[in-house]
Amino acid sequence: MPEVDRVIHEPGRLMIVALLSEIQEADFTFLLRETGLTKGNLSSHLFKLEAASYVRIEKAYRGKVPWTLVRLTPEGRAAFKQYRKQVNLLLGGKGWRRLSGSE
Amino acid sequence: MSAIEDAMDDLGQISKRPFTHWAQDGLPCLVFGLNFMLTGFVFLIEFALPRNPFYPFAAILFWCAISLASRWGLTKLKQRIVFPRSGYIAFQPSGWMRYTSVIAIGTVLAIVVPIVIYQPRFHGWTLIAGPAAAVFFALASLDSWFRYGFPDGILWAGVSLAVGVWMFHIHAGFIDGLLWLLIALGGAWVFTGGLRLYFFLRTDASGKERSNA
Repeated sequence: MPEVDRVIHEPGRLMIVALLSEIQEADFTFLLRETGLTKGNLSSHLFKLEAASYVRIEKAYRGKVPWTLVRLTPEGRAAFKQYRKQVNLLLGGKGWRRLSGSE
Repeated sequence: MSAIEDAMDDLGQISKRPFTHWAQDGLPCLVFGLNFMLTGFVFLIEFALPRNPFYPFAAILFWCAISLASRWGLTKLKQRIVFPRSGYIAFQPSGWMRYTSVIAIGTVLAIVVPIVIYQPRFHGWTLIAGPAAAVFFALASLDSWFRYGFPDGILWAGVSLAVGVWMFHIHAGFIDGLLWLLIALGGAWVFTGGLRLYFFLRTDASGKERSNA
């Protein structure tokens, strides 16, 4: 059985990576809203993804307001693609459905 | 079941959320609906005016100008109204291959379709081509409903089909019919976009810039 990437496998991080997979970049507010995570939880997941070089985080200002931009790195995209393949294999090619129940 | 476990049910759906997010405020529909309506009216006026070689050129120039203005205006409105409230996203930039193929296909269609449609032997087709285009737009609208879960697509499909039936009933010419379809669809887009924007602004009434992280 193939070993899945534990960094991506965690549900919160998996959601973040999936959200970023189809776009170039997003800000913290978007991720906060779409994941339903708390600010602290989201920050912690982002730092773990950044430590694994799966996302790049840029800090900027919009007017006087801090603005955090997040984008998936090529390594992150490759890891997500690989993860999808592995999970599909584990689920017998039946896609994503009930991933949490299949553990 | 937590929000995350819920979401784990179908990660494919999560990947599509940015597209839903982009349209949820109604601004894209509002801006491009206005664009469709203006384009339709300008070309209808151009066809109604006495023949003058300058008019078609002016109409095409106007269409290019409002298309660019729509794109610019949408970006500015998103930056001002939407991003501070519900977050910023940027899509992958389209490659030159995509731009080139879209321009090439558009140019070929713009040249070939009128030539074919207005051949005397294809006269009967002109009466069917308009309604056929309406059915095509209706199916595309329903696709947006199925694929991204926009119920607005049902209204757009209904409007397209209604215009298609009307075109068939009055034997509208292809170009005239297409322009009226553009205006009606634009109106439907403006209507649903306006409603979405109204509810979006009400839901996020605070409109406060969020300090993020």
